[in-house]
Amino acid sequence: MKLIQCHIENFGKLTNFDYHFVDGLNSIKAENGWGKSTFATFIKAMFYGFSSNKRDVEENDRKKYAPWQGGKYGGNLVFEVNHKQYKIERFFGEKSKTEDTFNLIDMLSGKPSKDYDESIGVKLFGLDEDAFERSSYIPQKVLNANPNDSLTQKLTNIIQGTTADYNFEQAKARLKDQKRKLTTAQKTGQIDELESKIEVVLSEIRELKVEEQRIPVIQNQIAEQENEIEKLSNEQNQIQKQINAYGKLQERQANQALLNELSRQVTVTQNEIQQRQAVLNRHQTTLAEVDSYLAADKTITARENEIRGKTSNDYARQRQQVLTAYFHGNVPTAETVQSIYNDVVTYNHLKTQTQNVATPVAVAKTRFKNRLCLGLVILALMSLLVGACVFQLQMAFAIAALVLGGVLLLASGFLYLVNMINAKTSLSLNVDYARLQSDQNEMLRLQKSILEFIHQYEQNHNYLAAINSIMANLQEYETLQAQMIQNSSQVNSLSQMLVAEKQQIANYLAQFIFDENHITDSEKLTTLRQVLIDLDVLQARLQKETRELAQFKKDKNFDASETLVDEIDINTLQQKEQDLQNLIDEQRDAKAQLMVSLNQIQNKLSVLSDKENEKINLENERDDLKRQLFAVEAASKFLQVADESLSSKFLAPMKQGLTKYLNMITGRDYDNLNLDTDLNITFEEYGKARNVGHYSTGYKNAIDLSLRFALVDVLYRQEKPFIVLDDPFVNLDDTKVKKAKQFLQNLSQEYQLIYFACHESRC
Amino acid sequence: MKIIHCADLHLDSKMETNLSTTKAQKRKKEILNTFERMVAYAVKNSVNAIIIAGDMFDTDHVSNMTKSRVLNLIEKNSQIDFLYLSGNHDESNFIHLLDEVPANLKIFGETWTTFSYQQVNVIGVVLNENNYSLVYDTLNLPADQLNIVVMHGEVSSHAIKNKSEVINLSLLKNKNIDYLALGHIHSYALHDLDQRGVYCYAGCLEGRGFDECGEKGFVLLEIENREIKSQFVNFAQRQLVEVSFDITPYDDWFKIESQILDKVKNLATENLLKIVLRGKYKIQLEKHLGMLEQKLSQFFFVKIKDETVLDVTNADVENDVSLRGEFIRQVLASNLTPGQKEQTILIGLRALTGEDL
Repeated sequence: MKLIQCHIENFGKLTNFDYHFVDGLNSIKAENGWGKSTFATFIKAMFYGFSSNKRDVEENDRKKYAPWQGGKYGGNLVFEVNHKQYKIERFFGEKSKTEDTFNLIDMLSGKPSKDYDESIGVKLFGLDEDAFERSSYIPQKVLNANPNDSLTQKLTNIIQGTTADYNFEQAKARLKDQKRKLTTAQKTGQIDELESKIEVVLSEIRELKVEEQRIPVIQNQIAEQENEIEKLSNEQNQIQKQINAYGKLQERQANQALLNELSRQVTVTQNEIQQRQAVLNRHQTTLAEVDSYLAADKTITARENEIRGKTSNDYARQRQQVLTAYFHGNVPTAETVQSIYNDVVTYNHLKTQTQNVATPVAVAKTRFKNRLCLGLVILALMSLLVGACVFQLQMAFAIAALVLGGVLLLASGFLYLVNMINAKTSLSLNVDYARLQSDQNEMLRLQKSILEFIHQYEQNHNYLAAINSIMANLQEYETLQAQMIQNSSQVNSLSQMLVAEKQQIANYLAQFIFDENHITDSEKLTTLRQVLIDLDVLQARLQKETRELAQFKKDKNFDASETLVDEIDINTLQQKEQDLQNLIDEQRDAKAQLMVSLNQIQNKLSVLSDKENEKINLENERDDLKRQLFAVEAASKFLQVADESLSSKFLAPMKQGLTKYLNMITGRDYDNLNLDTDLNITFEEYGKARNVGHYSTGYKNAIDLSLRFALVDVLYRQEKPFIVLDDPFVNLDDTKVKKAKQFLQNLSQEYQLIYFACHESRC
Repeated sequence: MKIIHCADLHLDSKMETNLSTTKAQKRKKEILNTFERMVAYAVKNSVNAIIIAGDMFDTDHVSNMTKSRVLNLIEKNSQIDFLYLSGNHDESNFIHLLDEVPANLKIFGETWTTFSYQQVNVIGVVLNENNYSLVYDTLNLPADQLNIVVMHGEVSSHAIKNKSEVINLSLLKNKNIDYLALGHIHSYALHDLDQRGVYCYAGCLEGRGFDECGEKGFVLLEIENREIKSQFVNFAQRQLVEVSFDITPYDDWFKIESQILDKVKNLATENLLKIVLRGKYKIQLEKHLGMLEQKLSQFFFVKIKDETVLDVTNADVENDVSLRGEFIRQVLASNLTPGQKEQTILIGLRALTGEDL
């Protein structure tokens, strides 16, 4: 492959720059700052474009080589490969690859070619951009490097694509350090710490799991308790059934007794009704009817009484007999009796007058009374005196004497006043003794007449009382006689009515049947009335009792077919039931305890999810780190393998190329050169291996350059590239520069060289 | 009448998001709190009943705090019926351990259990190994009434042997079901069951892992004029959001970072965010995952999952005669897994270039 020509439109500091390449060596004399690197980068960019995304301007070619003057960014390059010429046209956006354009033109036809695409560099050289840049561009600094630097280091850097700052050894060290951060033999790494934390959490989880395992055990125990409770409850239910049966029996018995009583009451009532209906003898009657007959019966009784009063008044009859005997056939007339009565009055008057004439007798009586008064006064004064005297000695006696004296004094006073009044009356009487004699005669006559008459009927010497008695008896006698005549007439009339009415009642009562105790119609009617009243009451009662009986039967649901249990020992059963209840309570308490335990465990286990969550997080973190550790170890391993692979792959061709180019530079053979996998170069001289350090700087530079081209030989197996040399011989003396130039001339037979030099002497 | 249909609360369960212990505990409390907020919503909106279609809890490791709060919530709101169907994760013995089940906590059994309301019947059954194939024959619903059926499992159009978690939809068709309230699937889904009814997964109340992304909540059923109207209510306190990003077109990490930040800028910061990087990248691309995570730290939680694949083959390095090229060729030729190869190459190149490992 060779370059033909190029045109830089704008690229870094270069603007509208054209260059025609020749085969072999293209020597360009250019001062520092001319733009050698820009030119070299332009050629690379034509084949590879810009791919870096680095933000640092120094590391980002797109930014670094943006046109200083502005304008279209890019240009074209004509090259020949496989005897065919192409022109690459590339223009770049300032920011991203998407703005870039690429055209490939077949120079023969002048038309776009599809032989290569944008990645033409990779296709042509079989190397990526970085490897191309590192291998085809030989800068000053490589050959100017400290001669004490290990040659191996330099080549390794070239091959590995790393700089001196970040190389394989440092990468290995970094990976080792990272591995140590992750885990150590002393278990102090991040993974170890996480493992410890996980173990702690796991331990907590295990403890919780142990608790969790208790749950089914406790649940089983609870289930057993429940089964036991159910079993005991069933047993208790059976006993309760028996107790209930006993209660039922008692209730049945009580109900039966009640039923019997209700039935008996119904029967009694029915009997009572029957008894009363027997009286009625299937005849209908009403209370009003009975009451009307009762009223009639009362009327009959009243009439009978009236007749009886008229006919069978014993008193009247007795009185009549007594009076008949009293008058013993000599009944005086009323006038006679009146006349005698008048005589008695007259007689009594006269007698009173006669008695008032006896005055001396009366005076004597008054004097006696006055003396009595005086005596009483004296006695009273004595009593008062005695009372006053003994007052100091015996109080009770004195008081009694004083009281007695007072009473006597009051009595004497009273008597005196009475005498005074009587004396005045006596003094007013006017005594007539003549008349007195006449009156006494009249009195005797009247007495004789009176006595003659009165003594026929009365033995009483009180004439007035006797004549009054005779007058009363006579009046009664006459009244009784008149009544007897009147009654006889009325009795006849009443008796006739009575017979009719009685017959009516008798006819009515004849419908009914009364027992022998009922004699009178009144009794029968009263009984009948009571029967009717009773029947009303009894019918109502029967209805009520019948209803109650039916309701009772219904309420109590009497089933005749129901069999009652035998007599039960209720006390034993109740004791048994209580024992079972106690057992059930115990089981329930035990179950409650288990429930509490279960609840506590469940509550404790509520943090299990948190712990598991924490464990998962820690495990995830640990697994991430483990994956990282795995990757660190794998990277370390594969970096080592890659390093060894690279070394072994390039070792033989490198040695061949090294000896070839050293021969071209120095004109000597190097059959004694050895190159190991670490790219350590030794020369065997006199049976002893001598390393490069023993040779001069110029010789070392020759080795460097030889190694460079040996590497290019190795790397570019498809198409030989052009090589850009950026004044690599600046430090060589004139002799060596001459040999170097000869070396370039020789090399240009194989490679197209673009050689920049600042000084004419090196061109 | 109003009914809430919710399911799969998974109270006190493990978080699946690799949250830190502190955040995982906070999230567990938030899930419980969302349940409490839902009940408060029910009270405020005069909801008559809350159907819990399974998996109220996750395991039997339920804290006393959670149990007591749930119980208190039920007891305190006695005007609301809690119709509870246990699911395949409900092993908490929550009911079993109660001394006394509140009157308004109504539990579906292993045979069809019906709770009748004035306007609707709610019928449910817990599937198990013994009844899963038999329940369909015993479901008889009145055609002239509204019927809500509650079950827990994954719907299938055909029966699967020994699968008690599978609900055979074919056998539920033309059974006079108006609304089939389901639990088990953690995302809301509503589909026609037959000409008369629909089947609906309420989804979970809060997402717990990035397999439960998107809106979460419950379904509000309004029953009026012999018709059931359903409406999904987005109720989660936080959503889990997954953002996938293909880095293949980019050769500049800063552009990738910028694009991702732009993509998530409108997301609520209380959310849990997962960034999944996909695609291929060239070996020159330097990824700053730690910095990206830092840039997204305003979110409650950020997880960056790097699923990108290093785009390097032997062809890429066949002309690279450097140690780097040889190293890559050696790794690519090894028996390592693709992932191991990628990580080994990246570590090795970082070591060579002196970057942080």
